[in-house]
Amino acid sequence: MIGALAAIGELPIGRDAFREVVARTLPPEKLDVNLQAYDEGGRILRRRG
Amino acid sequence: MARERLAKDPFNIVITGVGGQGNVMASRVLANMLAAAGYRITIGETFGASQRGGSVMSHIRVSRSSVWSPQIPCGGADVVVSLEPIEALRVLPAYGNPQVRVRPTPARSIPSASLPANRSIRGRKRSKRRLRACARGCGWWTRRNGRWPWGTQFSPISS
Repeated sequence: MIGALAAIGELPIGRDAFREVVARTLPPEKLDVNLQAYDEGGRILRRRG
Repeated sequence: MARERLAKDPFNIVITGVGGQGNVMASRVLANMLAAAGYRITIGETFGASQRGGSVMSHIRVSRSSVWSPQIPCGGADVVVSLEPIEALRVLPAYGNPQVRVRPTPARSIPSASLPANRSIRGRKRSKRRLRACARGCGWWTRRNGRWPWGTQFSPISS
């Protein structure tokens, strides 16, 4: 969801900031799956135009 | 590509969904990201029946210079993110405005309570009619392709 929100380009947020916050707030084993979800959200939004 | 600055100040985001979808978590992660970038964030949450399937809504107000009240005014949302399509229908009449664009995703998350797999064909048709009427009332039902705006197919949820 946050990946899709970042992909609309209206907010000054990016993948690095997301990684940093997730690494700080969630257990380490959940980082990868969250980054994949972030990327997928952006991909879905771009695909739909 | 991310902007360097906000498109508008304050920038108002509504994140909505139902309990257990991670709505509150998403709003806090987003707020942390923006706070780390130096913005002033106010979050207002309504989560009376959260984690029990009830409606959850987070208002996030982002500003470069000042702290705003946590409640977004009516018609004042710049972005509405809905984790549950039907919740978008609930939020858009109150907080949407003509500038809010609906960007559907291909998620098939029609509420299972409305279209259970074992309901009769007649019952499913009745549910579809009711949901369409709701979407029409909000002014964003499209007849062009005969589908829901978010591309949901009306097939029963079997798994």
